[in-house]
Amino acid sequence: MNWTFFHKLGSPKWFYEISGKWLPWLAIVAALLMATGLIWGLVFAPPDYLQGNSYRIIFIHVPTAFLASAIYVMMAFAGIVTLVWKMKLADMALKCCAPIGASFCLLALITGAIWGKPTWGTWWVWDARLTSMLILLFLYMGVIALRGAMRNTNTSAKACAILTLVGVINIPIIKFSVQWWNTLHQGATLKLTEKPSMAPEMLWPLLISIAAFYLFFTVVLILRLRTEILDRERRTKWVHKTVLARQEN
Amino acid sequence: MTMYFENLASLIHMGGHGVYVWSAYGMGLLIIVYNIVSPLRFRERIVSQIQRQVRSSQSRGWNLGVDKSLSLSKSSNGNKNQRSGADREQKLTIARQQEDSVNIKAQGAREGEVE
Amino acid sequence: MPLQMKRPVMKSQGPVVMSDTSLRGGRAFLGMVKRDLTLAFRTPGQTLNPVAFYLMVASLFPLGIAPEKELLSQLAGGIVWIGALLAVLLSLDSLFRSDQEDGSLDQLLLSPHPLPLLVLAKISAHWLTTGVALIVMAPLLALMLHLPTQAFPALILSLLVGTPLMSLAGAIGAALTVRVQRGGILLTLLSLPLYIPVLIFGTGAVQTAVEGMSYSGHLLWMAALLIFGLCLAPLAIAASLRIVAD
Repeated sequence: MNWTFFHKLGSPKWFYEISGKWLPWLAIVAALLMATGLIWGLVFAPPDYLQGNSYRIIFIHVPTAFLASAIYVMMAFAGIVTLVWKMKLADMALKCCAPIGASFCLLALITGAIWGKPTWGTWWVWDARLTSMLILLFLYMGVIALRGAMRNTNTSAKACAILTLVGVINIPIIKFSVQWWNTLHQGATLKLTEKPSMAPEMLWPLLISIAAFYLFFTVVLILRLRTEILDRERRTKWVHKTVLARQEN
Repeated sequence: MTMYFENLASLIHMGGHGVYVWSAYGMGLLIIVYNIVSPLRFRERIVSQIQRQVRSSQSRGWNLGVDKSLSLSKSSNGNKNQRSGADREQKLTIARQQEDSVNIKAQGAREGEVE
Repeated sequence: MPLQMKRPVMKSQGPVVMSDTSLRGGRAFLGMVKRDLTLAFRTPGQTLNPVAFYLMVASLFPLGIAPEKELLSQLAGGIVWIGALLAVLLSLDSLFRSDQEDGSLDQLLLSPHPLPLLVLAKISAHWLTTGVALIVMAPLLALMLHLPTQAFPALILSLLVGTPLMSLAGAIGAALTVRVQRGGILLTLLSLPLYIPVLIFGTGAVQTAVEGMSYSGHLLWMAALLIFGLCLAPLAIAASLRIVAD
């Protein structure tokens, strides 16, 4: 297999240039998808038989919940690449993913709580999904705090990579134990999302929203990553040229 | 596809659940805006930092640009128009470096006096 | 003279045979445990801090909630477990910090013995001074909080398996934050997500015992996590110590 692509990916300069070309297109597609998915879900989809109109929160809650978990797993992969191949770009990706993932995790929690009020009558409910999402938020906050506490870039790169890996190993254990804890203390309750039994008029906008949020995450990550590259490579000539070119604009 | 809601009022009301749906979407909008604004502000901060660094390293003896070199050449070189622009700029670079080193020495002397 | 050795050895010590190195590894482990225990016993006040904290925290709950017997007996299992968790967290900060401050941590990193082994030794000593003390205190606190008597064995057993697991998991955070100024709170933040499954299984065991049912499943799950932790945590901790050293 040709590994050139992988090793090229390790070059921050190459990534900066490529991402610069792709960014506007990705942003446009993301905006279009987001508008389509959310407006379809808000206005055009029929209301739920049981929950009425409050189920429309699903079009934000489910994508952000998916993404919060997926981003953490991506961070774990980036951590492995950092530790094994010592790729700077992987560590930069890990650093930039963390605040985005944490904000999505927070949004999933808040929308989950807001959804819970009309559905179950309380603002917060300790069900398995929401509790696991809360613990995921703790994991995110831990990585961000550790990054902030260490000055040296090299040290913080490897330390955050280890912490993320320990966290990702812990996630299945947490999910299992929380799930078990939850079923122990509550009877069978209405699950927050029952995707398989969704009608197509509701499923399509949900899928579009999920795709839209993934793309949005990619766009925002690239935005942060580009600046992080400029920051870390600030002594190189190509960064000087880029920055000066921007100044003349 | 037909709109489920008949008018704007029922869209906002959402069958009684309007508060929940719209506050959830409002939070969503907030997080989306944060995720767009935060990287842009980060970029502005870093780029301006690097620009300042580059400018300060540049002012210690690099080319200043064509206009300034022309005006200086008029005063210092007189009628040497046959010379290529590059030569002129090179001379100016050296002249400017010497000027700078004189300035730095003067500054050092001044600072020495203060102490 | 043929030298068969795995680890570098000074020439003055003479030829070394393979079996000696494994013996030396075991002796290094015991030596480390002895050293840490001796240090702990020299400062009994500092070592007993977590125990005092445990007692105080467990007393806060009836003061803050209500002294009713029925209410407390429902909450007792959770309170005793959470108190133990917090006490272990409190004691973890000193696991590596005192060594880091006087430079012996750097010496440990240079040691010819495998670092995970030495780390395991330190954590064992830490558990012997902290965890065991908490386990001894736990029945007293359970009595004060009116835990039903049939749950006492479950409480002790679950703490017996859970406290070493918490020492191991918390030591990872301790290793990552050892060179951070005021890293105590950061250590707490990093360790809590790792503690949540332990807490759930531990309190689950106690609750099940209160209801009179068999709690062996919970204990087995915790034992599995403990073995998992014993194998992997020292490696992670050793790697973290080396990473933050430069």
